[in-house]
Amino acid sequence: MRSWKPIITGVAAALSISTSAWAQAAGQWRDGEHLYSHLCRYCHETGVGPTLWGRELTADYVVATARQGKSAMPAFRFTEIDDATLRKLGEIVASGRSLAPGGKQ
Amino acid sequence: MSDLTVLPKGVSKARFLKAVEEFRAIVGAEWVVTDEEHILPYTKIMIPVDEAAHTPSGVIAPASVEEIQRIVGVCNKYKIPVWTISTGKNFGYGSAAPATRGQMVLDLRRMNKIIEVDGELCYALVEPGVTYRQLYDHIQEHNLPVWLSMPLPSAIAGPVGNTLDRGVGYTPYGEHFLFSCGMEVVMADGEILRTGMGSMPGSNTWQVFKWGYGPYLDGIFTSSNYGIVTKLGFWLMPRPPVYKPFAVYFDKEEDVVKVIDAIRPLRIANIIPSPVWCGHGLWDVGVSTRRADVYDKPGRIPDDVAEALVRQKGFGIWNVFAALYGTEEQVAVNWTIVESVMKSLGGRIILEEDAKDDPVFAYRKAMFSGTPTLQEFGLYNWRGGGGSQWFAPVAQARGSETLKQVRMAKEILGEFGFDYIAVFIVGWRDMHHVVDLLFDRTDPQEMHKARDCYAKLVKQFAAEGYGVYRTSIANMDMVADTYGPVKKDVNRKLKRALDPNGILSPGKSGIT
Repeated sequence: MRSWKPIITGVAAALSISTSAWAQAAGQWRDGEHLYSHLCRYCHETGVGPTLWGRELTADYVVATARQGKSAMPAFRFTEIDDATLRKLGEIVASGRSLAPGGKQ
Repeated sequence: MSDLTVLPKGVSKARFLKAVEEFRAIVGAEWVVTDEEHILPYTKIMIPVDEAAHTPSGVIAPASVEEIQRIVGVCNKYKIPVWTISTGKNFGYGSAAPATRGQMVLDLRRMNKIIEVDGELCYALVEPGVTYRQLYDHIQEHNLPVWLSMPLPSAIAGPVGNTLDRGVGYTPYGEHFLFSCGMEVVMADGEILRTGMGSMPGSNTWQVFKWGYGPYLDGIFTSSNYGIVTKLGFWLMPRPPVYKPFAVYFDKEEDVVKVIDAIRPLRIANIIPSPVWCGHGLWDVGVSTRRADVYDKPGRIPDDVAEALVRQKGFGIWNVFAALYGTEEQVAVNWTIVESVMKSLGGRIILEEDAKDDPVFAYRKAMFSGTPTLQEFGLYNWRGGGGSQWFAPVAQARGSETLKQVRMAKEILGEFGFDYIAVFIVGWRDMHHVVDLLFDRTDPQEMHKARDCYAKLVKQFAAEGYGVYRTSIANMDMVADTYGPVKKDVNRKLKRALDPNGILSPGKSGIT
């Protein structure tokens, strides 16, 4: 039977955490795949937006669309995604190799 | 400088350039932009107004509280207004764009430190640029026994901006401002205020006791422009041993009356501890269907067509979604009560095991457990064209209020040719009647109609005593007027006292 007890003892083991998480603002995405798996996939893997794979999209198109938005797709600002990471994502898309669901290859 | 787009009102080009130089000296040249290319993403809006009315003069993106203190000094010196955003995802309310043309956007996205998550006392303290997804990952990575509550744009929005705009989520902690505890605020004169217990040197109770001593000030920094909130504390729900999401479908439009009357006592007594979603079936259809594929005529979809569509997709005309949380015994006892009430009303109960691969059930299950999902944005494909404005009048949680508001909304939407896509979210004693006014933003005629439709909705509902709790950057004065002259006057007096030069987000909630 599940109860609060294991959770309460679990807290004691974990202690109180007081740390700074890794930041993910401009320049701090790990790479294009990290960006995809933590942002793009929420819409582009769920039917909300179109898939990015197999459409012969160019890197320039990916970058421009992310920056300007398109229809209901929001625009992503320079403070959210740095130019280099966005370009890397554009290159992955343009390369024709697709990332598996969730972003892992 | 050829890259300048819009000057702040009443500020000469020469003075603006001097101010920009000083902003750059504070945050670094690369974090102050005034060129069209960088400004463009800040003008991407979904509401039915021209971007030109909300184009900023530029963007300042500070990395610290100290930088913000110095920035407001420059703003006061040159009388340059700054429109503060945290993650800038206020879709359907104006996104990241300022209330008026010619403000500098103060973009706090770079300030994204999770300062503390306490797994014992169950609270978090974060900066404005932190997203729900980032905080969710932090909690997962450290296996902390807490759950978040988040609004619909969960993965990309953040708790500070959402809470300050008095947004809601779907767990028992869904009334976000109610569960906030302690703010740090940079005032217009550069002073730093910590609210509640945070004012006392050496206190460790900032995130556990909301009230402090003397007037409770946190409220004046929400839905307002009296300061720049740089840290926000809020309580987190302990992760429950058992989570039981459920849906109940009802097949007649008028069922909403008895449903809300039956839910109210369950909700007030906390037998159902989450907010209760009671959505119209066309919403559920719209999440995964394009209107053009199922209806090809202009004008609001007639009720009989909508009802046939809803039935065809297997939904009810009204679809309730909520959840129970707790130990196995607690959930079992409360479910016995909820189940008997829902059965007595003639509802079709759907549990997780019945829902199988139903994507709507799956994403609502995520919403009600504070897990990031953006599936709800499928609704934007219903009409297409990227236009959306939320109309969200507040009502008493009484059945008699529901059909009255539904009929008013349908009539006005129908006059302009828009569909009734809406949900009643039962908070505790209140309901947010959230209507998504969807339109094609690429069609100038629809833009015009959507603008007029929204204005009529606000006015007609206000005439019946119904106010909206939040509005878009284009309608802030209009909505402020519906709350009467004294409220506006007191808001203005506070503004004069706290921000005499009017540099902080002028126009927010109609306050200048």
